[in-house]
Amino acid sequence: MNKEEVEKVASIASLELSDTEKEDLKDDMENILDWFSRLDEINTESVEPAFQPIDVKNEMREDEVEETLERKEALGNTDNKEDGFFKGPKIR
Amino acid sequence: MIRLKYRDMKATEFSRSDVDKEKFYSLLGRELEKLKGLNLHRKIDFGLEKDGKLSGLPFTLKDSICSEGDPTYAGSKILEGYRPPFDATVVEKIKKAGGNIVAKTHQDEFAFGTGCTNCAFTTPKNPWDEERCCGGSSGGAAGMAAALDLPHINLGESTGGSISVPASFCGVVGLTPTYGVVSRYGLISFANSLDKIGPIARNVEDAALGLEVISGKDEMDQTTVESEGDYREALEEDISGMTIGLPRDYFEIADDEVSETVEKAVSELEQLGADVKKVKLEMTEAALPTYYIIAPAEASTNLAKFCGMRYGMEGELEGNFREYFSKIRGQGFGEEVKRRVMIGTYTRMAGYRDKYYIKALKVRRKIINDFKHVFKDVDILAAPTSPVIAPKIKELEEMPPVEQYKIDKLTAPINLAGMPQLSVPCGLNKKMPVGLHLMGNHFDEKKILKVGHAYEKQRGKINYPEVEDDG
Amino acid sequence: MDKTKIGLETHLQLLTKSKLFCGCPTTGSEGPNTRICPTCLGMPGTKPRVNKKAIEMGIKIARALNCELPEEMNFSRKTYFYPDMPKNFQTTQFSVPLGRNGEVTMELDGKEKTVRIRRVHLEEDPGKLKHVGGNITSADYVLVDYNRSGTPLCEVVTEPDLESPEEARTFLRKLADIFEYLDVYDSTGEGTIRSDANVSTGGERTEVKNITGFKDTEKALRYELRRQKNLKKRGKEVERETRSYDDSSGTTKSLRTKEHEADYGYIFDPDLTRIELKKRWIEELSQEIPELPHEKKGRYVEEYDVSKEVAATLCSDFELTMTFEKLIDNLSVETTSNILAGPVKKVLNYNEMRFRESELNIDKLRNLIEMVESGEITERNAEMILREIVVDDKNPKEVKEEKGFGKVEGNEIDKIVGEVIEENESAVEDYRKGKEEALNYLMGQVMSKSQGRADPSEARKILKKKVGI
Repeated sequence: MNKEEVEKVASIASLELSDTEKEDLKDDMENILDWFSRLDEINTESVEPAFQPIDVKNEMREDEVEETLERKEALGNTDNKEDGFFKGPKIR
Repeated sequence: MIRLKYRDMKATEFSRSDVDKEKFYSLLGRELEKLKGLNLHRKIDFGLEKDGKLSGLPFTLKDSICSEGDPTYAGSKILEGYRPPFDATVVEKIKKAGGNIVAKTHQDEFAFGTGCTNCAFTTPKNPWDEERCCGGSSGGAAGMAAALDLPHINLGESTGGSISVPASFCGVVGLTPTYGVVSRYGLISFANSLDKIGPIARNVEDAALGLEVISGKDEMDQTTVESEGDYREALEEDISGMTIGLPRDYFEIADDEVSETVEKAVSELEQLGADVKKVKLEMTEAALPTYYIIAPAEASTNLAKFCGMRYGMEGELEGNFREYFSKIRGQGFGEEVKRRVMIGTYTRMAGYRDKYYIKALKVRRKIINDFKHVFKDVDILAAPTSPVIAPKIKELEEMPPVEQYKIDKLTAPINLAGMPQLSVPCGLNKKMPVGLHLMGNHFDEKKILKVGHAYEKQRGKINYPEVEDDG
Repeated sequence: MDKTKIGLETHLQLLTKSKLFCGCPTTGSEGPNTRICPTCLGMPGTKPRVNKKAIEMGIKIARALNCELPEEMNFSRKTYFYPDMPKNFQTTQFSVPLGRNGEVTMELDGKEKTVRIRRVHLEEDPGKLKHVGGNITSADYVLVDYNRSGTPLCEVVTEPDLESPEEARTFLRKLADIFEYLDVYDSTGEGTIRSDANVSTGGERTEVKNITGFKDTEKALRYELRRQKNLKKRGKEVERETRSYDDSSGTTKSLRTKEHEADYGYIFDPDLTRIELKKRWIEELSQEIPELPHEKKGRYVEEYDVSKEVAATLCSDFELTMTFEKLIDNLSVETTSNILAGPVKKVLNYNEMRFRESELNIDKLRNLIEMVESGEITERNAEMILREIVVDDKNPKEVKEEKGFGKVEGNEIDKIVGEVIEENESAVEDYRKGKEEALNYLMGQVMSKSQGRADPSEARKILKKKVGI
């Protein structure tokens, strides 16, 4: 791991880091990734990935309309709002 | 005087007793206030009707479980101020059954932690020794079970061992159900394929009651399954003839004294008629790194929504969206959260995804099969819950991350497999509690519950540390 | 010569009642943020619940586009940050889409072309952004409406098989037709077609994002191709970049940002279960797929003995096709197909309308065709009536009366033909000498004089007789 990589990951994760944080994270990530390489020795040929631990399948919902939130409730957790819209930072 | 009436009363006895609600709740309120190092957002509904099978039994919720209109911060500054406009399904079920939700408990920020030393608001202290941690991430919940000497049930949550480990460190019972038995709707997610809500209480029967209340297939969470529901029924069954497997490496990994304490507990189980045999698990060493690939990967996507819009921490809308989001996240997330978001983002990236994320999912399959294989020969497994007793807070904070993660070494495997676990206090080591970890195959909650209950009866009462009596 | 290659990634909004992962309605609006719930607002603690109907529609689409379907499908999370994204990840399908390796055959200028479909998958729509105080590059802040967030989309991705803006537009039209036939898409409602295009003229390719509608797609591609060709003319290289189509100026603008290209870090979405695409289920759904345009065309040629071109025209507009099939229940196939594929299509094209957008309806057409069949008016008259009734709320009989149409009687034709022969001596001479074009010219004169009311075949007979051939 080098500083550029740390910055790249932080950028993808939208995370502002101080220089000290970048240093510390660089070291942490190196150690942790090193630790992960233990898995390289494990043979996983023709093993199916398990992205859920139990065998649940085919859960679907009928196409029916349900109750929505009152706009007041939806906007109730923020001060960044205007005329019923959520207010957010500009794009550029 | 009122105190004595409720001392040592089980939650299961509460509804049968003739509770003087006013007095009880007033006492409860004072106790909760005293224990504010363990809980927050206290609120008691004095007007709660006596109907419903729980008759107003108090419940606490881990701070990541949403209750409508109540502050729910998941232990993080970035969610400060958030009041969800909906109830988690478990909360709905508690309310329907007549339970009284009285507080949220402190936790590691977004459940990232093994000691509950990553909480943005406070670090809960272990009631057995204030210099030691409660265990994470459901530290506040386990601490409450140990410190609050009134009938109640605490809900915690486990991703890699966050119910069992704190239960073990605080000398209380922690029940982690099979993944899918309890709805995650309304649980602020850490890792969606690993999170399980479960009860933490002073005894097995109360934990079983807790699970009865909160379990069941939920249409609001498509990963839930039908559950048996009547968990207390099996409790009194005879355990003779059951086979208990002891994974040899778990005992070798744990500190000697911890292992000895647990071995003694196991021999008591033998005396109760259970057959005990050594078993070999192949995938133990692989589990922790696998867990630390999958969980942060999922978590880093779950935490993407926290960016200073719509709820939680906000700021002046300065700069473009990248700048604003990054600034808020930089300010609002603690150190461990940043670490896991970074690692979790990295292992998903296009060039690394196969090597880490996909690989870990395949190793996970092998871990599940490893347990399934062993459960062909034994009913349940027994081992120490954690390799250590509760570390001192200062020591833990100074440990490098990978060392801290090792506290979960014995719980990560079974949690990856989504199998049920019960941690039952089984003795003291250096005056700190040690946990006996009973683990079962998918949907075998009743097996571990009845063994745990039988052991508890055999073991006898635990003398919890006295909480300052203020009348 | 460098080959133009265009690939399209097209999103169509599916016609379900509720959203893809929650029960909020997909239509209607009493203002911003009134059609949302904690789930489509991405509030912490909520979980997605996939809509069965959306999956069924997706399966039909994949089949109609001749795709291969997997045994099991699942959803993925595509993580990236943007203010219109409630969770800053989009639930979509990455590893295992609903359909792969399909194809669509379309007709352009009488020739058949096959466009390969790389994949078909389902995903959710984000919210809608409004830039306040300027445009995307100059605004002070944004306002977001999450009503649209969570709406089910079907994404169809082609291989770069399209070779011109016209082909692209024709392809999109064809896609929309198929979707209408399947009843999974509503072209008149909120549902619109949005595409991203990948365009290359031999070198690097550029991506042009967020083009809405058929016309704009053609315009945007034209502009982009021109831009790329101009660059090359000036000796410059086309850069690989992302551009956005600005409909007000009809141009594409660079969206180049300083940061690294987004890495979406796909994972399986663990909140959603795998869906088995069982054979039986697929079969049942496939049965519900109506005869699609390509099949219909073939059948028309076989069954109704119309030409391929007429069949293609009849099948080119969903509502027109449905109208045709209803009309031929009791009207003659020949007349109906001639009128619909001929003058009706002509006036629709002239007004750049689809059947459903015009003032035409089945009753008006029935009247018109009956009048032609009974000889009350000629086909030429019919066209002139159509020119009016396609945009006005009038019926054919009214217009016929107004314009004084009525078929010219035999002796009137006789008279007109006589006049024409007199007035066009040299043409008559040419015709006698054997020049066929002279006959056409004379016929033109007859039709013109009769204001289109003369029956062409009768007029031709009389003309020939009078000329003495």
